[in-house]
Amino acid sequence: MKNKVIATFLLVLILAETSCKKWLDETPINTVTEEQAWKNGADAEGAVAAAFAIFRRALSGLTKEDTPSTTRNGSWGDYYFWGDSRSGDWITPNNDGDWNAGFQNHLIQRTELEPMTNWRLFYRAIEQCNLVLEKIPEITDGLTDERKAQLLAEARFMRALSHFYAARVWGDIPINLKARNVDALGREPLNTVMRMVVNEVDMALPNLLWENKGTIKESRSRGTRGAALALKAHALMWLKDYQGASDAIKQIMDSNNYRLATIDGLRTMFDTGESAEVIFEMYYDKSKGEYSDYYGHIMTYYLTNPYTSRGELSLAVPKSKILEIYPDYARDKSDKRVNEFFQSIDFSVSSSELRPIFADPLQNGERAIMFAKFRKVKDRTYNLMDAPVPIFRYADVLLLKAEADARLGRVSEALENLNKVRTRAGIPTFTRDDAPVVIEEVLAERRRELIGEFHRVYDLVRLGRLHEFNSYITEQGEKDGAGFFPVSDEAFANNPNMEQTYYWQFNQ
Amino acid sequence: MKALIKGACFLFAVLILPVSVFAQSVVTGKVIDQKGESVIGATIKVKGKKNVAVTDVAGAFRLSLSIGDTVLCTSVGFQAREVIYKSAADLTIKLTDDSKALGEVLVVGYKTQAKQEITGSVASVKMDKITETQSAESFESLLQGRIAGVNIQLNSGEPGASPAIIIRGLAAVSRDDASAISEPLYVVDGIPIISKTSSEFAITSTNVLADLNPSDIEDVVVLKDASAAAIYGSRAANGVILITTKKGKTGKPQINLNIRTGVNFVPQLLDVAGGNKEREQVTRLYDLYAPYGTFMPAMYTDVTNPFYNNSSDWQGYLYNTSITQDYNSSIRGAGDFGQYSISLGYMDNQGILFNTGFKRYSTMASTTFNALNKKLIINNTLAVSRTDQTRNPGTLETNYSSLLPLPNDPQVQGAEIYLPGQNSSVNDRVRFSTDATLNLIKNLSYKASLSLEYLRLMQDSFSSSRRTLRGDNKSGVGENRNLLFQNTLTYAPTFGGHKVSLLVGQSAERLESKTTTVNNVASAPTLSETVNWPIGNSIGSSNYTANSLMSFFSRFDYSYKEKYLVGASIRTDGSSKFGTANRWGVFPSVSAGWNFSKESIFENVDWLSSGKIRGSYGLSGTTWDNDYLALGIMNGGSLDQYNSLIEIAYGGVSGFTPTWYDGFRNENLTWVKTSMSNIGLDVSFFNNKVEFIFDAYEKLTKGLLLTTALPTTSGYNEVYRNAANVLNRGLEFTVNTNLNLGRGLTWSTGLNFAYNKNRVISLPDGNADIIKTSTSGQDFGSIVRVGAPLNGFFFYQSQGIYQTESQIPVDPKTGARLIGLQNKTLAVGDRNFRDQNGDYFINVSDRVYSGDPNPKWTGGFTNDFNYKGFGLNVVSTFVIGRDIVNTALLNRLRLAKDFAGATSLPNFDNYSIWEKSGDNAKYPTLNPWADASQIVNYDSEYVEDGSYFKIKAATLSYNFTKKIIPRLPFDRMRVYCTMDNVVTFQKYSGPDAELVTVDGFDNSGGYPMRRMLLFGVSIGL
Repeated sequence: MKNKVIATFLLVLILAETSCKKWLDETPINTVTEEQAWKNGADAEGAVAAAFAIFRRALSGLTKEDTPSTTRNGSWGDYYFWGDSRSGDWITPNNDGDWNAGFQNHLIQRTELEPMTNWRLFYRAIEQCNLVLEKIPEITDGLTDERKAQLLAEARFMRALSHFYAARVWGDIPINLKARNVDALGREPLNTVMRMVVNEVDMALPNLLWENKGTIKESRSRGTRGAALALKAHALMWLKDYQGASDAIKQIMDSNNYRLATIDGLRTMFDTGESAEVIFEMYYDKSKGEYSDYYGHIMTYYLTNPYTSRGELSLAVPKSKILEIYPDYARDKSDKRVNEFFQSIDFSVSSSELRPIFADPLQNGERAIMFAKFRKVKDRTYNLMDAPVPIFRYADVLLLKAEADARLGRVSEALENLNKVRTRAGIPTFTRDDAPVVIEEVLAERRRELIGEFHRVYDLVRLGRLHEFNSYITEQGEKDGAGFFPVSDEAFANNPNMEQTYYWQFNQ
Repeated sequence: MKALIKGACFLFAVLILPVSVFAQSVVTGKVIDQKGESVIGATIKVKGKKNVAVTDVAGAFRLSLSIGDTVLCTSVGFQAREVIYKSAADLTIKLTDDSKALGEVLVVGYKTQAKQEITGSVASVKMDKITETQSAESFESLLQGRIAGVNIQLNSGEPGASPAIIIRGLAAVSRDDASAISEPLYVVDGIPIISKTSSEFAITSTNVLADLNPSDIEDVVVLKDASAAAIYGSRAANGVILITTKKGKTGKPQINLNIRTGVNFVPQLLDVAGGNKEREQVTRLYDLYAPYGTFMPAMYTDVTNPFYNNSSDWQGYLYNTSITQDYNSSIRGAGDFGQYSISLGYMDNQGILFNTGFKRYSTMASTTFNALNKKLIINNTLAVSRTDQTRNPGTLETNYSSLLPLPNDPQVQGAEIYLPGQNSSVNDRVRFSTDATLNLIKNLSYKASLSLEYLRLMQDSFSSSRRTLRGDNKSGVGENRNLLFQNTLTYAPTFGGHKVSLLVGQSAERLESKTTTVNNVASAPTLSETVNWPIGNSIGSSNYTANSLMSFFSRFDYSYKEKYLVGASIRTDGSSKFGTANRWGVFPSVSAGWNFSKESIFENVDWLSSGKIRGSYGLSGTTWDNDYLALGIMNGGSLDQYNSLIEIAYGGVSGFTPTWYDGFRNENLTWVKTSMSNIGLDVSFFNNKVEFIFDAYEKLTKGLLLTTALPTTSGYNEVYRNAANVLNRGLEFTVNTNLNLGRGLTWSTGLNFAYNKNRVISLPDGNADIIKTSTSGQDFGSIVRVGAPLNGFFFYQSQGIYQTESQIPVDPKTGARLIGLQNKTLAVGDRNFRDQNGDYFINVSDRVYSGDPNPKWTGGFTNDFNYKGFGLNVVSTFVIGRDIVNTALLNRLRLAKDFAGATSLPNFDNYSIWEKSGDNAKYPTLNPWADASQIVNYDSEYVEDGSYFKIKAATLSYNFTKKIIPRLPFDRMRVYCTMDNVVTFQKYSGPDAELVTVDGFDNSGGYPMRRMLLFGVSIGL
């Protein structure tokens, strides 16, 4: 009897001991822990996709969900504010104070602009890539070596792209290539960042494909060899390595994977992203549930009724500026892009109806012409936007190569590529052969071709010429860093190595 | 085995069969206590024989005895006594009360211990007498003022609200939780219970402990120091409260009924300028300050309009006298078979505020079976309870303008001004525990226990808005399940003067919580308290969390001749909340005691009854609410506000990212470790008539969890670190007296007071100050600063009011005058805040530490008078040396441009308010049209002395016994009348200095504490 009891007791103790380890492994059922999140091929696929999703969010801008120190409810489409709004080409027809402050480079004290100074989301995309690069190599379950190499290359590309994009906005930025890096990182010179970008792209290139699976949009909204080469070329332009940039773009051209769309094909490209001209774009698709509404997509701010529920224009390029940018149109209406990019809406029609569009895109005069490069289905009842956000396209790299070649003195090559774009627009070919004039014309062509596509300010800042086009920025100011966005207060928290851009130390 | 069964049958037979079988002569006898009153249910045994008898209601027994027999008399609550039967006369046995004797036994961690052998700081409260004449929703409020160092504050008078219990000083730090407190661990009959739900899983805000019927509690033991509490390891750092429920006592079944009804009176409410006084005040403000062209609203000028010609007492309308009913019944008994105890309770406590109340239904059944000749003892306890709290869906506004007619005015025709709706919170708890103790060999016993606890919280609310014609419905369910399995082995041999007690044990615990909530906003109000899902207009969510704990523990106690005492304990806890690398924590303690009164030099000292010096040191811990904080939580994204998948998927592929707020994998996160040292002295004099207890302690809490911001470049927002240290030092004094004043009059008192000093030792980020701010960005006005007490007020320092222009400082360098808050050009009559940094600009950087909301002295004073059947009992509590902020007044004085008619006004005559130069006023100009109001949050002028002395309860009772009324149909009947919340003496200018938040603010949305007059009768059958 007694022995039995003691034996039972000992048995209980032993059972307790052995089940002890399992007993303490408590994992959530409503989400996963880091240990559970990196197990198989599907996890790897998801993690890389998530990095692209964070980058897409980063472009639209952070909100109070991302950091409590900001008060903005929704993101505004910050890529426009970084890459276009300060180019001097834009006005806000309803005189919105925040937007005006943005045009005028008063970027700090406005609470709605303050979130645009915060780079947090770019570093989240970077951290996601860091984790991918640390964790995916260990995954073997359901992941072929080939696919693993592709995913790692994509993560490397996205990490480089995030650094590159942030460097264009803030100039000198910290480089973070290590997962869970909580060190107080200081800012690295812009050239160091760009060199890192080029190196990373070179490492990624061998394992990237020209095309991923799926439709053009599905394929080219992820890392491809073309996207990586375009990124490399852009970075090399900042490093003034024109030969390198030209070579990289030559590889893109030689692949014969990309071609300019026809002028009528631009609609398909901007509306659906399914165009051979696209090199890299941000994926949006209503049918997949990936769309943005009132917040998050700058394109809702460009448009009004009949495309959205908005009654008034928030953003516009004034008529005089359009005529200045497109001299061929001013002269003989030959530049077909004006018709494609601008529209005049009949505002006299009641806002409760779909407003008709005038035949003459510039009919509405100075302050009421709609920038209609990106459109959506005509439906005034909702703002739902799912046009892909273009990052790089073939016309962009052709013009970039033209600039590089012109700077290298290869004027004929430069003219060849410049004129491809001009011909499509229906304007006469350019024939002057002195390099400085060609370079100037390429820049003007980039302005015409890429207006509202978040390139113009970066082109000007790269060349130190933003002050020529934006009267609120002085030449000295630009030398001191006025072309870049200030660093947010939040970046200084627990980071003694952080420094404010020189210009912004004195200009609030 | 057979022999065992035979033995059991035999014992059973002995109980049933008349004892006269063995009789030589039948003797009648009586058992009485010290006061000469008969003792019911005492067991009388004859040594060496099987004869047993039990006393009846008159204390009498019949037993066959022969001269020379030794009779052993035992009864619960009394010391056992042996008597030799010498003569053939009737036998009277006098028993001495056990509770006053040194032999009192207390439940301590996982075992019981004689009080005189305890070396830690342990206090106990017998609940029986308290609960018999006082009615309370939860036992915590009944403990108020009874134990030195246990500070219990009733922050709200709302039925079902949770009191704040802080044992030996606050040790909780938070950046965004205004009232973070350090919660003790609650253990009922040896089983740790769910005592609260973490904020994320709290569907209802009802006090979770209110479902324990106080009438079921026998006693409460509080383990205050680490040597006593460390055996509970990782959850014991804030003290442990051990609750023992009532069990049956030997003798005939004890049937008790306690029926009481209370009337809740409305206490003093906010002062209101009523009717014409309000009109005068508004007119005066318009005359003084209104800008040209601004006119009073018609309700003030249209004197003839009967609609506005009222003097409505809104508070009087919405606060009303209400009724509390509290019924308890129980039947308990015990014998050699074991014991049983069954109780039922019902309480209905109507709130004094419209539409509020609290109900409790409780039942508890506990049985004990002795088997195998008491070698095996099996306990089963089942407790089922429900609490039902009724509230208003939002804050019920009680301060409308007194000129507006009340809703019951015929002019209004029943229109409801307050938000119509319902909010009911129901908590259901089922606790089942079973344990078996096996006495293996002499002095060695093994106990296994299993407990299952299920707590369900439900809330259904409905509110509709007359303005928007929309209705809100919300329904939520929270489920908490607690499973506990524990094994202990006790070996307690005695040899010579040496007494050893060794306990080893193991326990495994798992706590799961789950919530489901749904709510909707309907375009038209439906009078439904459940959610009717309209198409495309529904939001629901659910959540889950779980943690498990595995523990091994051991306690060793040794005493030599009950003179020299040594104790040690060790516990190791493994928690699922930690990563595998950092999973186990070790919590040791040591203690020693010296019963110096037992030394020979004190042998002939009559006045010293007992004396003990004790000292202890130990480590204990606390964890945190978020079960998965250390594991690195990943996030699969969620739908954005437009139901887009944009944050979930990219190109149709979705994956996980870290949770950027608290998902940084944190293997280093570990227990909050508290080390506590304690020295104490227990002495009693004059045959225990005067008892004195003193304790001094130092409690160092290390590694409290706080977030630190991570550099933005990491991608993460913040990380939790064990970063803050808090020190509490204190002294505790208890003096109990028990005097017999002669002629049947006895007077006993219990006075206790405790001093605690609280100081922050270190903070993260280089000891940077923490200015407490809610997650939505609201500044609480509290600061956590190294070297200062926790949650000090961080206010602008008031220097009175500018009486003349010349008092406004001017910067000698620039000639510019000091600029006030919100860039205001300062004028005479404005608040004179000190420009701390001398920049001639009053802004947030001019705030300074301006007060300590932590009480310095807390305590209580109980007085018990007994004269024959009469009893008078008075319980008082006090707090001395606490700063509190009269936020309620501040909010009422702050008038905006549209103040007229919006709310009631305080009677300005009661406050010294500045109007013109020369006014010696405390409050600045009330000008509602000023560019910046001078009634500013965080103005040090509103910091007041929060000390109070409160007579909490006074009871007058009369006890009928058979002795007094022989024809009484019951054994015993007590009629009583108790006044609860009798009177408060305070310096504070607000209504009640106790009704403030833990961090010291008088919350103007607070619920006043009713004054209750309770009449009851308690009957023992």
